[in-house]
Amino acid sequence: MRVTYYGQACTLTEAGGLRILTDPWLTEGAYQGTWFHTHLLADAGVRPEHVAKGIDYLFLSHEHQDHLDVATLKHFPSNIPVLICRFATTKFRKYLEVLGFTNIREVDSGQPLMLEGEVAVTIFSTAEYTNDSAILIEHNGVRMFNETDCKLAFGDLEKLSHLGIDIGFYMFSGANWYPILYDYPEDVMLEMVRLRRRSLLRSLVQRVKLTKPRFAVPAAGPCMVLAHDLLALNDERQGIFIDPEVAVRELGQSKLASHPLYMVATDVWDSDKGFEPHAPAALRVPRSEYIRSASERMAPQIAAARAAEPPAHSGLGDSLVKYFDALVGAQTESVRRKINAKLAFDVTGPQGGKWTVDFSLSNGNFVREGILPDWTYKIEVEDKLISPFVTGQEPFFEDLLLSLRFRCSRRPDQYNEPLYHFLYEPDPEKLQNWYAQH
Amino acid sequence: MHNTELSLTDLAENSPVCIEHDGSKVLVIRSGGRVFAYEDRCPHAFWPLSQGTVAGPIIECPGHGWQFDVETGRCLTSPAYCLKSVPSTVEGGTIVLQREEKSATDSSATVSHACS
Repeated sequence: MRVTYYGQACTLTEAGGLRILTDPWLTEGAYQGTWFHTHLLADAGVRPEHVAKGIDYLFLSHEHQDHLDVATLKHFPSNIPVLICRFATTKFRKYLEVLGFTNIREVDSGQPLMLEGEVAVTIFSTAEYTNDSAILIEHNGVRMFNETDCKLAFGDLEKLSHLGIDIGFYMFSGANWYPILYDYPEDVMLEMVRLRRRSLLRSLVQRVKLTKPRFAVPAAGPCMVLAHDLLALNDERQGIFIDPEVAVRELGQSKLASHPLYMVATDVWDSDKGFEPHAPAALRVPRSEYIRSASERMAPQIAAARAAEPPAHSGLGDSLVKYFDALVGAQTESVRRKINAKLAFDVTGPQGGKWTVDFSLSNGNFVREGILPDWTYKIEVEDKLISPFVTGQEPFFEDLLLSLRFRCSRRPDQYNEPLYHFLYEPDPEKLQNWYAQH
Repeated sequence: MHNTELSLTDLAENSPVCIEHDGSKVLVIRSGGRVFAYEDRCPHAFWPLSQGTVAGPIIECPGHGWQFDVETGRCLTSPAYCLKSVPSTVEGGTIVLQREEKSATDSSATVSHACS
């Protein structure tokens, strides 16, 4: 078995004559121009049209743009077999169908699927509400595990440890907006970031310890942020995007049986030959130095992309009201009670305004003009950024939040998981079923 | 099934243990001199909390860092969740985990707390 790493969760596994590509994000500037690879793929000579050649199977773990990149997927034939997990809803599958894929194979979580060349793949579904999954690829007694961003149940990880993993790719960093975009005082923020990073690294060590791979590669999770107004998010005191070398060091200091492996785009692990460094030396410079240089080099492209962003459509307010009225109104009373939020939007720009989505109402008009004094969660965002989401042009609302181009506050300062679930996938049946069981 | 007992001296402060009780794994922890018992299963992704780290009255799940108030079982990361309490008493120097249907009524002796 031969595994080539292409950054984030993208791995090319060659075994039994098959080439299986996982989560190909091979462009830069995901999530409204914010997310870049930990190292720019162009610096390693990676081009999506080259990687896409000769792929037999795609595995797509979930819909996030750093795993499912529409610009990259355009380089694959529409009839390529696409392996996905069978989730509670068909939203993910339907999205792939809209993109034009005609050979989508949904696989039940935990059930091995035998492919040609005696290659077996097993897809595992997350324990969380989200539609996320991980993959195990086995051939000739060699096993490669790619966790992607997926938080698996303890029992599934335990099963993997009994099988014996040769190389595992593990999420090691935060990939969200908490606490970095909240309005905490600076000293509080710094402490929260420190604790969050500590917790993330501890989690990585525990998952590696449990699954016991021979080689452990910190792979998915972080991004590099290159826009000048967001550069501070790369800072280890202010951001949760952990340097992969720090993660490797943490694994090393934990004295586990697994060998920590720092892989950069185009590096290879071969089951016969071991680790083969292929990435150019320029990718192995200290992270802060690399980010400074990358930011300068990408500045013209970022500026051009932002200048080309379409303005918000006129009537944004009406769209926002209709969007949330319909989604909240479709929920059952018990789910609305569970969410129990007053979600305020402070939208800036020519089409801006202020609105509050009140989940405590039951008269069908859930959106009020203005920000209610007892709001519980507030999002401040530019009109042009939220516009495509409330018109349905962009199907995944979380993509707006992952753009990191907004600010938020919450009162009380507590995670409202039901609200997050609603924003993630407001499918009434799925929400109702989830909260009937949790 | 019977009650399960363990010696109080075997339970150091802030050093949780996992014991089998009534067909389940139970987390037993001593915090602030008091004893608490919960199902040993984080409600997030089902990791054993007994392998977590304890800082004061807070236990953190080893899997993904969810935190719980040891005294109430309340999840601090996502307040919609709490740990399932296991009825327990301290009798002399012995911690007694009771079967569900035989929970103690002697409030002075009961040391586990359900979320409310």
